[in-house]
Amino acid sequence: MKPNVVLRLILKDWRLQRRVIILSIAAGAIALATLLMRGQTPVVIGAVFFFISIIFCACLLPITNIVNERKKQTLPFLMSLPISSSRYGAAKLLSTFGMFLVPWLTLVVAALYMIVGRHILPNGTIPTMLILANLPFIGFCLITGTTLVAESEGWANAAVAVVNSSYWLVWYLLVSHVPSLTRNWAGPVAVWSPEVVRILVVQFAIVLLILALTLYAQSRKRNFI
Amino acid sequence: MNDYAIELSGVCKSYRFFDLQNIALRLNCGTIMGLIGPNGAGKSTTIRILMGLVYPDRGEVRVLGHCIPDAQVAAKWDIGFASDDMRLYDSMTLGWHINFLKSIYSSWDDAYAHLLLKRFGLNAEQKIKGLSHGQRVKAALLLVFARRPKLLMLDEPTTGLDPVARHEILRELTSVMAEEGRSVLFSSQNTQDIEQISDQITFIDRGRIIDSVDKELYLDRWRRLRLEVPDGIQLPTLPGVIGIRQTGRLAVAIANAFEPHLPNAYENSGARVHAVENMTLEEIFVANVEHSREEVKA
Amino acid sequence: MAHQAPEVSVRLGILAAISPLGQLRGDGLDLRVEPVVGDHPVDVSVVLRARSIDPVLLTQSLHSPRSFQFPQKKCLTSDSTVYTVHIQMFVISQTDKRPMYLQIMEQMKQRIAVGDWAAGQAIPSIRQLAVDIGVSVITVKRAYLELEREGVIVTRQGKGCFVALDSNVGARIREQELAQHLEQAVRSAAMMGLSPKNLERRIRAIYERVADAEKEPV
Repeated sequence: MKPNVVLRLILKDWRLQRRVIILSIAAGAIALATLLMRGQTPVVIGAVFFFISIIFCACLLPITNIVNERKKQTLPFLMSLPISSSRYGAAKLLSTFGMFLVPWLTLVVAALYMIVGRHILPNGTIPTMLILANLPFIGFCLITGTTLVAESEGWANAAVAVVNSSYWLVWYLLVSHVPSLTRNWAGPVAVWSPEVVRILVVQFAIVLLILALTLYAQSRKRNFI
Repeated sequence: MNDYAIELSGVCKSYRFFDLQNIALRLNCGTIMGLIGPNGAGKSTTIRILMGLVYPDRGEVRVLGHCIPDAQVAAKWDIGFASDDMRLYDSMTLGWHINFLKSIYSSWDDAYAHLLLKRFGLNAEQKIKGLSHGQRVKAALLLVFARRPKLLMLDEPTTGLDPVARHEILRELTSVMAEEGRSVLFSSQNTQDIEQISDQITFIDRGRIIDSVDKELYLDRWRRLRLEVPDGIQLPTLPGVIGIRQTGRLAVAIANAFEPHLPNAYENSGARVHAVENMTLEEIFVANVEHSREEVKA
Repeated sequence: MAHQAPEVSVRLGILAAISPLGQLRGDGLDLRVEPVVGDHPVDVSVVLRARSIDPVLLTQSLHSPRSFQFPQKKCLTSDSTVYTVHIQMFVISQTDKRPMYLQIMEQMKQRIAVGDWAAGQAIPSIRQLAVDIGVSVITVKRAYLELEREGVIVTRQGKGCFVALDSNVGARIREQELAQHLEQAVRSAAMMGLSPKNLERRIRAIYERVADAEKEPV
């Protein structure tokens, strides 16, 4: 049985990015701690700080994990291993995702806790909160996909710039065109209106599409050096 | 199972300022091939194509019987690769790299790895960023050697190494031949290295293969003849002689298809042969490249 | 702690002869290596290889037999200890104008002529010698082919390569060398325009000079 090279590469990435991973976990922990404090202000500060650190992770991780292989010229070493470019791309995607999921899931769980456990916000905000939390996730997918396919810092930075500047635009568009997002905010019950469900499904589909396109583009590459 | 570790035919690759044209190459199993050529000739590109790092525009590539790039994963289990533009992870130790490769390759020979650490004077606990250039090169080569791969493809393995390190690397390369069925392809700027350990030599210049030959036969075909040309004697053009340089009454003829009767032919024409000298690979290389460039122009 | 001195076997890398050369003593291993060559300095790599110790590597240039000392903690008192001694037999010069295969041939002939390699003795295989000197297999193959053609060595299918049984091999080699030297001398003389009589006279003069030098009291 040949050892799983993809798994080894993922573990290798996590080992190499140990510092970044620990930093992002620390940022999440700090934000969580402030969220747990009494009073309104810490909650707001904590939430904002947390959100910003998520977005920061979404930008930083693809660059350190993906672009560095080319910058530090370790790509030939990796590609000399028994692996194809598609498997390499898959390994990179999985390892980068793994690193991002830690802070992102913490965000979602913390937000749910705030709402359901601490009642800081009414339950009606749950659908909206989910949709909001998915935005940096989609942004991350886009940045990671672009970075992996283009493998250049320039493209990565461009993707970061485009994604970061569009968060508020997308949110504004959603809020202004989908009234059910804000209508049931104050309610004690989470209302899963058809529009909300549709938006969630579309978000999920977008993520899958980005991943599929990335893997496809990666498999069509003809020059790795 | 093939008799050839490497087979290239009709391989072409176009870049903006450089073209690899119609590369045809064969490496017999169990031999060492030295790839020699000026800078920018296409040595690195050829090796990259063999490793599946670059896809050719046209042509067939087979390594250890596998079609590249389709079956590159299967091939790479048995190939060890190192190039001079390849780097290891700066922030990790050499020992980490060893363990990383150990976890992937079952052919890893730990005892041999430790012996090489001592022989090369490397410390497994040391981080790559703390190594000098020569030590980095040796570290990358150690990672290749200790796996005992069936085929080694090395792009300029001795470039930038001090004479002792070069000697060590050459010894390890020749020791690969102790096991039958293992092959080496390496490119080098150093003609001495190629001349010493290659069984087969391939010349490449400006994207074309000029020659790919058995080393001993090849070295035997080339001679430099030192001639004395008395006044009034015209040196004949003889087959097998690719160039004559004459200043005053002394001339030097370079032959690339030497026959034992060649000196007699000159003697018969009235010139005197002072010496018939073997040429080093470096001299052959320069003469060969210049000659082929003239032929292309004509 | 006293140990029973085990049988230590040392394998000489090329000659494939196994002989006990070392003795394990209370304070370490005293390994005595005798290079099997004349007065050529020989590169010797002594590798101490045994279970649970890192291989100990030592490279020396030997002119005469000498002892290596390995301290106790590098030794293992086990009767399966094998100490491998590797001796490089030939030195190939890159700056020598002659092709490598000729250098190899000449050095092999010298070994035979001085008696280091006896008639009928097994010699390293082509691959072994190539790995040992650090040259290409094809160069050694050529040297062996030429030597076989000259009748200096023989290859027995499946058994390996041996020095020819012809007991005159040494003498024949010397004869060949002399013939080569004479031919060179004659060619140089012809180029200078010397007559055969003139050359004869000069050879006689040298002969007498050498004979006188040998008669001189030391």
